Amino acid sequence: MRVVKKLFNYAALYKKLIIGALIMLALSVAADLTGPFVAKKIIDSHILGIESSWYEAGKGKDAVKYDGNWYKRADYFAKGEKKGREVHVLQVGNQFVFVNEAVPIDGRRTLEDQSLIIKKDGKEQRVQAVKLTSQEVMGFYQPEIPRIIKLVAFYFSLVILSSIFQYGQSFYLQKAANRIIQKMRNDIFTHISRLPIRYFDNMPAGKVVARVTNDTEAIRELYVTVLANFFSSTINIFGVLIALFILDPRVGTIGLLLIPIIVIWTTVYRKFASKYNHIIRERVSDINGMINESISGMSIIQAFGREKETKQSFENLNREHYSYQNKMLHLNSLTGGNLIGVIKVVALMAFVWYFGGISLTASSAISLGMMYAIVDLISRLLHPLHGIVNQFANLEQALVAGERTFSLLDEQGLAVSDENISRYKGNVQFENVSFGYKDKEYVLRDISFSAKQGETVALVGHTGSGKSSIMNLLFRFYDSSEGQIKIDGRNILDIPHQTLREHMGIVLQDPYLFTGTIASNISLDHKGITREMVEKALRDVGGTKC
Amino acid sequence: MARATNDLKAISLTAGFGILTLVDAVLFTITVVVMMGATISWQLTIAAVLPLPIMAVMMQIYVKKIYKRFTDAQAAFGTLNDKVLESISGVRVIRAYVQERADEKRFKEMTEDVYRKNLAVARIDALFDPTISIIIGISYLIGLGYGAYLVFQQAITLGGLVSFNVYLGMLIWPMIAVGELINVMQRGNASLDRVQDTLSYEADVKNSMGLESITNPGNIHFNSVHFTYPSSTVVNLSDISVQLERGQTLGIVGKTGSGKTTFVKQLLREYPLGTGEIAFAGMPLEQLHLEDIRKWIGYVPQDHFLFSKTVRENILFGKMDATEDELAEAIRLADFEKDLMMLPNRLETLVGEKGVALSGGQKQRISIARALIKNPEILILDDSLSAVDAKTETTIIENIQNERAGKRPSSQPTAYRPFSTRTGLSCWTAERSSKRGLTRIYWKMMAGIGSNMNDSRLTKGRR
Repeated sequence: MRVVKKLFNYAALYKKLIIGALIMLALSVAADLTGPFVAKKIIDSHILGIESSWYEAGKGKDAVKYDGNWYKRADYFAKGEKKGREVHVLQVGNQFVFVNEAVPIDGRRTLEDQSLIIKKDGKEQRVQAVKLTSQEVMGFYQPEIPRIIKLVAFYFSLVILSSIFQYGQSFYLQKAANRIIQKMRNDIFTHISRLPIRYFDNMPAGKVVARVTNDTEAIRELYVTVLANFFSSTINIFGVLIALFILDPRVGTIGLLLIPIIVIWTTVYRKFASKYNHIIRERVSDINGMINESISGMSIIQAFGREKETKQSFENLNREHYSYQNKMLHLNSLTGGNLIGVIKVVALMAFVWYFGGISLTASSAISLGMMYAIVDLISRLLHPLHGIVNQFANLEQALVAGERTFSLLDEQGLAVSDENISRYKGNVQFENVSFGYKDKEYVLRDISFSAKQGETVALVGHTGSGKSSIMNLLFRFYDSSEGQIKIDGRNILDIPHQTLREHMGIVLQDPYLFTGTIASNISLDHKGITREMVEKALRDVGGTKC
Repeated sequence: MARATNDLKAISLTAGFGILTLVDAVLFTITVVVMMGATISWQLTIAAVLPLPIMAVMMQIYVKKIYKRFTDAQAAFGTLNDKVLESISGVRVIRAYVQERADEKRFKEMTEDVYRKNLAVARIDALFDPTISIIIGISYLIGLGYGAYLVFQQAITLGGLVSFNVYLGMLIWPMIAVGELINVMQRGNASLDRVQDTLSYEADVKNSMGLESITNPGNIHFNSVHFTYPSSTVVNLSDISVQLERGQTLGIVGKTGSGKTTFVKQLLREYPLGTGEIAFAGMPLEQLHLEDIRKWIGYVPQDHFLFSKTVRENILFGKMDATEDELAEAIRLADFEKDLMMLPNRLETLVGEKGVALSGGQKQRISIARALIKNPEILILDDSLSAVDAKTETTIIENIQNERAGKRPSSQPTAYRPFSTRTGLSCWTAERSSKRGLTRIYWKMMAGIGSNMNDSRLTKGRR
């Protein structure tokens, strides 16, 4: 949880970007979910609506001429406008018929020559009906067409709007994530300069590098993919639930049942997955280490003819990795798409069962358009679920990476000092200095000597006698446990590391060179060092002949 | 390194998720389209899926753009990685020269570069989903609009129209999956290319046909050998001729970069052979089994590399089935006994990256023990005592000379690093008394080197 909090704090640094992105996400989801509503409206009121009651009316707006008379749909009559005789336009199969009287619009319809038979609740009603030609049907739809076009245009603009927000959301979230990671990397790198040299003694360089780059990359994944998926899925799920409630509270309630299902699912999945993930990650790190080592030590492996043995031990690691990866796959397959499929089918079944037996027409308990909207929404409900479950592995990985990164940041460090002091004379004095890299294992014991300004002091001794350790102490790479080291009478513990080192030059035992030119390695890109100085230094060590 | 891990991961994603999605999405799409067409209306189906090819085209355009940007971003990340590695490995230099701030500044510039390049990727990457949404939206519009028209035309029923739109909804998921797939595939492709690069790289050095087997290397013969590293622009060894009899020792001196290590590596055959002839017992090197040659040689490299295993395992790397006595003897010869006592778990102490930090001299001596336990026909010491003090150095040299001389009484134990065979040929005689003396000789020799070595049997051609 500590990790989560820290990750959250980092995210808070760019909260404007993130909140902006999330608002856009919410808007995009909202626009997206309006789609089914619009479709429902088109189907119910404008396509199916033709089956509602028509009345004879005068010529005018929304009135349709058929067989010499004008008719208008019930909903288009203005208040108080006089209605004439009721008629109906009904569809039987593909065929539309005109019925010159009031009839119930639900029930099973069959067409026999000139008469329409409507069966309902065991009763049968037979009425006169006239088959309509396509042209005549179009005539009846005439008032609907501008309305449909308007809705379609509305729908399309929603799609465009949703897409724009979607783009904005995705881009800004990535932007924020990249900024966060950049900040995090800079922080870690800066922190590395603060860590004592001791930290690097038992820490392979590769591991520290992994903290700065690979682990942060995994965290980036968290902000970009995991966060986006979680948010969009959650907003989607809630959006769909709200939409379901608006359409039909009963269906909405059924939808609510999904929430406990998600919770149980999540818990069970995480329980198994985290175990497997843990082992897989360990194996991956072993494999990485082994590959790294085999590459660096390839000449040794070849020189000693150990290719086969090396391959064998790699094979073992690889096989173990494979077996756990397989278990993970089984788990994922079991809980992933298939389970979603099952839940979806169950949800649809429940829906059909609940409204079972009720014939689906415009006036029945649930309209055709409603049916369409609900089916559409239920499908939309389950994909976000899948999205969430899919991200668990990533989430876990990011959390572990975060833990490692933050543990590095939590290492005790010392601020890099920018203080300058004027050049000291250089009277170095060691007074009863004792020091050991590990507790109780002294490398230096009670060392006292002094080196005055202008003197040259040589230290002699065999391997491991502590020559380098004395230098390490003088440079404050390590600090002595007992005794004092003084420069010009001032205890070096009172001088910040950087300030102290500024006036010292050392040629280390391990001649480390950075990528760059010879000149950049000599000057270390120090502004005060000119080309001439570099060349002179090189001449002085006889390096010009190379 | 990255090829073995990140790239393989990308490939596994393509192969696993990719293929599954492809098959799933394609089959699902075909089924849905056929259902739509067969049960409702082919006309409407064709009209509704018409925008999908547009999507495929758009995706292709994006993918092309993103590929370049993605590669750039990866490269920037790689540079960043190298930079950190350098800063950590060279942390003492940076600290000693108070370069912390400058280094931080350089690092910040690099993270800014990585940020910019990642953002360039994000700009295109963010286009994928909206494009899919719009295309699917258009499909829906066609489905509803044209579908309504068909209802008016009495071509389909109202129920058919609704079912059609439900089917259309089922197509959303495969479309998104295919979009994602294209993205993943592109990355998988790039990675596969990189891995193929490595896999298809022919082994530089391999056994040729019709090999001869000899049980004993006998003498070693270099006849005007020229050699150039594959990536080098200058000739690294030119016209080297050496004749070494069994039991002789050869010392090679030369300036840094003059090709001493290159010379001994010719015997190990790590690189393809150059011109000229190298022969064991009169048999050209290329006609011998690679495994045989390496079996004869005990090699102590310049950079003392140890594996992240115990000291015991590291030494036994030279001879897996060595007895305890042999192990103890190798440790004694390498003068490592005293140091071993200081290690927390003695022989079972874990060394290498994950283990305890050993001094350079300790690592070198483990490395020597590893070569000695093999009791090799040819022992190569490549500047292998650089990190030990003079006394230890003398002890080890004496041990080696006595040990090997004891087995081959005829040898003349005079010569010195970096090359010693089980022989006594010396290119020069060295004072064995002190390191200082030797060093002096080195310096003298070096003055004359690069042009000529004053020995009839070891000649280095003028360059």
